[in-house]
Amino acid sequence: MRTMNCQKVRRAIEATDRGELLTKAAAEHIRECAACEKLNDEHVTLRNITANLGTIEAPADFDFRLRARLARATTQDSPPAFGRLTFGFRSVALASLLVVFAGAMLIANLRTTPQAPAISPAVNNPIAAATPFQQPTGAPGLASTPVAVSKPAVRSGEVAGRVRTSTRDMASRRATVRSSELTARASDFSIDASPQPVKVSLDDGRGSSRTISVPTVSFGSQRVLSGNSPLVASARGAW
Amino acid sequence: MSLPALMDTISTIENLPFAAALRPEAITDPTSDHALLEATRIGDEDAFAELVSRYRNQITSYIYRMTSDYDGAVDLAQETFVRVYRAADRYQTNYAFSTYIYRIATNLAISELRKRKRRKLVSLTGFFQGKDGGEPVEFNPADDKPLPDVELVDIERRQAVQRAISTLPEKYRAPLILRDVEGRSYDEISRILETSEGTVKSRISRARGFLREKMSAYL
Repeated sequence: MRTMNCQKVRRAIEATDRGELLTKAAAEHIRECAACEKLNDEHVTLRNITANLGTIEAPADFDFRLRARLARATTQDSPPAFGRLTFGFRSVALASLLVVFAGAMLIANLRTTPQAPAISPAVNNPIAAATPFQQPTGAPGLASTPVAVSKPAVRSGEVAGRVRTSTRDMASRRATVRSSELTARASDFSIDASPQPVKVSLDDGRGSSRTISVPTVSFGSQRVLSGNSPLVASARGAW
Repeated sequence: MSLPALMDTISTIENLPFAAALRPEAITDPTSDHALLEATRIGDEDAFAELVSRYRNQITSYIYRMTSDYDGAVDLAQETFVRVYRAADRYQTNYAFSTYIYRIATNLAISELRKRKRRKLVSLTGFFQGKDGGEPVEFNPADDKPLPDVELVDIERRQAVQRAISTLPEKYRAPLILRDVEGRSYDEISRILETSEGTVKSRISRARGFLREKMSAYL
């Protein structure tokens, strides 16, 4: 019972402010209980020390520094537009930039994927090598003036060990069209451009077979120069 | 009551139902804190200088008691005034200006204490866990050497109290300083800390208990 009373009195002592009197019951208890009396004395002493800690004065140049700081804060009041944005806005903007950048990288990557090795006209076609990017003179329907080369030829094999990639801007050039007598040369090549789909039959040797139909692939515009062999009628054409 | 009838009955501002909520000194006394801040709002630099001179020592001292770092306290006190100045347009006279500025100072001081905790800027003299499971706090043991002079004893006691206060968890530190050092009322402390008066009283009692234990060698 006495311990309980001591606990209550201790709580009362701790809750008492400086100069405030304890209740009559608590004061009576303190007179009889040496431990609580000691505790009360300690609290009174401590409260007097804390109350007399005093005020720490600001430095003499406080106002001067504050004015300078306010002036600085005023000049910095208008940060760049991006700095005004909230964190959410900045995140969204950054994410959008990343998406755009990733898309650009993807497109660039698709454009520079290794293509099938092109047959160099300089090697296989002496005429083409002699007149690069020019129309053969006398070709029907084409201007005889040479086409100006707007971009330099892509240098190949610059960096050893890398995957060779090259890009050519073909949209601004006219396609090289060979005359019928040129197609007859041995160095020319022809592609089987049958309009019929190719059918491939597969047999696994155990009686089950499968037929796959591969549709015709179009390589864009094609022009058969031999006038008496139209494309539909002839399965072979000169490119 | 209709509006024309109300207009007939009201002759002074005291007749308004919310007249009690209005602070008369904010309206009439040109030297009140509210009036000075109102003048600051419309560009009166002298009014703001007067406010600064009224509160600079109190705020610096309060932040110093919270952080135990004089230079840092001066810096945060200046930041407090900068915020008051920049937010003058948004200031509302619902509370006393002292409550408002102490609230800003408290938030800055607590923010600084948390930054320090993250930086692990604590003394190597020793640590112990807070009794209520709070954060680990620094412990500066009492120096038992006898002191030759009563004045030196007093100085040493004050320094020990400051060190002991700085070891209290922040939720006990702020109310104890505001009550026992600054002498603020419980009501004002509860407004500054934005908590109930009962919570404030409870925290102050516990803080006093902690402080007495830490200071037992000096009492």
